[in-house]
Amino acid sequence: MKLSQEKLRQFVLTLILALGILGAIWHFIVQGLIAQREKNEQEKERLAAQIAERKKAYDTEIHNRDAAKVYQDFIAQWEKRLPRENVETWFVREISEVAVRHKLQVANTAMQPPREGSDAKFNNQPYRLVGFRFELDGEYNQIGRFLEDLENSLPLIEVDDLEFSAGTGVVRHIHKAALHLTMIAPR
Amino acid sequence: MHLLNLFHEQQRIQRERDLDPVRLTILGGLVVAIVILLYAGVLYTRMGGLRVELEARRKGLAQLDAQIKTLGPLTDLARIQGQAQLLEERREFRIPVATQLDLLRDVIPTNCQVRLFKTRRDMQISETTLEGRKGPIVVKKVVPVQNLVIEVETRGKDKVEVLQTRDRFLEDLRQAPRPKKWAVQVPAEGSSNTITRVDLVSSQTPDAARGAAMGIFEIRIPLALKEPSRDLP
Repeated sequence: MKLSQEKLRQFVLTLILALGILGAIWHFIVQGLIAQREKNEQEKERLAAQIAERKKAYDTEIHNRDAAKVYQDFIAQWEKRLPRENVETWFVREISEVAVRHKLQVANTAMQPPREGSDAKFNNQPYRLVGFRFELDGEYNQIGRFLEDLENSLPLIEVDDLEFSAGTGVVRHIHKAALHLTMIAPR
Repeated sequence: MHLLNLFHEQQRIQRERDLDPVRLTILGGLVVAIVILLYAGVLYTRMGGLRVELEARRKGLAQLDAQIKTLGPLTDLARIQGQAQLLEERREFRIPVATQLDLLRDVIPTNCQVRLFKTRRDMQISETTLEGRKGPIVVKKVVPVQNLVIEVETRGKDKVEVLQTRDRFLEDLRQAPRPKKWAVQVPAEGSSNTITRVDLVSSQTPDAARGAAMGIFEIRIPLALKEPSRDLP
């Protein structure tokens, strides 16, 4: 079939118009829907990740609360043993109580700051490290038992320095002990 | 005379109209447009399900957020743990001084007297050089140590007995099992020996009552505390 010049022109124009319309339909409707679908899929993934993250955060928080409860009970139990009053008064009272049990007299008591650097661990903590020094006179075994009692009854106390020297002459058996203790106190 | 075949003429015109490329293009375009629209419909239907799912997830997320909000401020477990650990370490890692006095009492020979006993907590810093990618790396290790200084006076019938007593005492001190439970003897600074000894006095002192010879020697023992393996609650 031979097409006239006019018909051919009409055909070409119609074809171009049809292709344009179909292209527009494809672009604006189908591609739009595909893009929307991809966006929704991404949103779905993002929400799934957020839900998983929130669930994890919730479960972690519940677990942390249970763990924190155990730690807080432990802390509360030990905090009962920390000085609540003036630290020096607390030291003198607690040490004197132990000394009395061993018939020893505590002398030359004084607060003495802990050695530099020894309280580095206490930065950003609700506690601080305090130091106290005192002297005792007694027999070797007597002072040994006193120290044992002190270390057992006040487990947060630590002997930082101890100088233990024997007497001379007739009082060779009487030893003089100078102690420097450190203790945790609330900040 | 020509015969008119109107039927044939009509058929030709109809065939020409049916095969008109413009018409065919329009029809084909319409068919393709319908197919595209059907595909778009399918896509839209599928997206409806996706939208419902999205909505459900948004609601779920909002519910979870509300649940978390009702919990209040979040627990700073690391801070609480650090606080508990500090107290626990304080109790666990201390070097018992009473044990050191007990040890000394157990190993000291009867003809010796402790003149001076000094114990002092300190920090021993050791440096190890490791080969790294970008050159040597110096790793510093800080170990809490307890420096013990013991000054002992020994008496005996002669100098040999004094020295034998001193050596026996040193050996007993080195072999004592009790400190091994909580500490290890470490070399003293600038030395490879775990126990260093300085003889302060070594003389013959004629004293019939308490022996004829006397020696005073000083012993230095640096101890590093063993960190026991233990679990916090």
